[in-house]
Amino acid sequence: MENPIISAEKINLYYGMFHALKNVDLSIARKKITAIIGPSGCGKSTLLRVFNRMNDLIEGARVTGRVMLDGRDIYGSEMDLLGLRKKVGMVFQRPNPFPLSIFENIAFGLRIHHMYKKNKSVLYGIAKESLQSVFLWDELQNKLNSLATNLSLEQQQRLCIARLLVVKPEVLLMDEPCSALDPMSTSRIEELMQELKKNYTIIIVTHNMQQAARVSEETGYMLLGELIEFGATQEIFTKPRDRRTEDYITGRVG
Amino acid sequence: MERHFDEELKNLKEKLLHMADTAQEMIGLSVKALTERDKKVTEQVFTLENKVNHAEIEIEEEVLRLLAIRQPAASDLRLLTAILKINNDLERVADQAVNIAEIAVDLLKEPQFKPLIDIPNMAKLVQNMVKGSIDAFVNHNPAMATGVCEHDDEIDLINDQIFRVLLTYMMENPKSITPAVDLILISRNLERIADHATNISEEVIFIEEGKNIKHHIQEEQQH
Repeated sequence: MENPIISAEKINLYYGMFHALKNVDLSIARKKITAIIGPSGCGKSTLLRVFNRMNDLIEGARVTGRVMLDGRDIYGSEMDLLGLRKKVGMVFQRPNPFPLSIFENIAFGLRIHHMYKKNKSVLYGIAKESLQSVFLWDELQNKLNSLATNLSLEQQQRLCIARLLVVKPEVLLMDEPCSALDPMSTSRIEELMQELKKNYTIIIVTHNMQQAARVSEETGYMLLGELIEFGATQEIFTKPRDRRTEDYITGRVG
Repeated sequence: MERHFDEELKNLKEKLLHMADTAQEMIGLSVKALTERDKKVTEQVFTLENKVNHAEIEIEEEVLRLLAIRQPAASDLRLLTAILKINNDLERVADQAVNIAEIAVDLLKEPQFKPLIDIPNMAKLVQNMVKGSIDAFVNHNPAMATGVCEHDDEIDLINDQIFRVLLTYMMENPKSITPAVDLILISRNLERIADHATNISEEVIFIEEGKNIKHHIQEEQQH
């Protein structure tokens, strides 16, 4: 793959004695959507958390290998974790807006990264831009001071994405972002992802194979901590090379 | 793990095989009508056509239903899309057999103007190709399917030969033109059936190997 944005080499991750990721090699293409699929417990969320070092927060978690983000090893001793998590943002299965106003949710990231914290009108402009990029501005422009937790789940999820975008990430990690949403909302978030990929690289973990097939250009299949197969989504879903991938996506196992 | 879907696929394949058997039978009967000079045999061909047409519609509807509700992937997806095409090819085979039977009705009105050797021979080879392609489908055997594709050239040569022989007859005796042209058309119908057998074989290779060889063999021949 030419000039991948993330390059993971020989990633092994242990939770204490449990070997959760086994020799994973993976390259993520820029400004494309990559899906990671696999049965429960295969390590796909663990792999996602490798890319923003969220596993560091889990006691007993240990990683070996290299993860290059734009040429820098994120597990190197000089990596600035806050800077990493600004560049590589994460969206979770259950939308998690702060119990603050919509505006304060958006401004929060800017404030803690000391970006424009004093200039309210600049903050407002940035909030508008980020809410527009998740297609929430029209609905919410007159309610910026209302509580974010009163929004619908879909709106909350969009807001969480907007919250990430204000600090100008390069990569968005999405861990089953639509699992808590109904089919119509899911469909709209998937449309949003197609818009977002024009500017951001997206990696999505999903247990919904049809979703992976719909949204992604590349797909990786994981099983028991191993990356079994990785390739163009079209190839994975029409002629997978590995029998285990075939069995999973045809519903014969898992 | 056995899926309910596997049972549905098995039933669908059985319907397709049954349709293939009927189409095969129609080829045999249409040529038999000619060689045994028996008009009643053509009636059997026309009756079987209805059966094939109904089967085509049933199979198509079942494939659409399965595509919608099962959202198949990988080999299941290839199988269903291939079944749609094979369904179409088999219906066309049956159409060609009907065309042969219709021409036979006309030919039987007049005495036979030349012994029939090449056409029954060609019919046998073509029937074997259709059988071979369906056997390859049933047995998941791409090598067998490739074997069928390789016979297509032989059929084209026989078709050309029949044309040349009949051309000679027509030049020598203008009264033979009408029946000769009829036989040329029958030969062409058989040649078309062979093409459909080749198509079916190509679909089998697609199902089993995920490879689309549709124009590859033609390219190889050009080199």
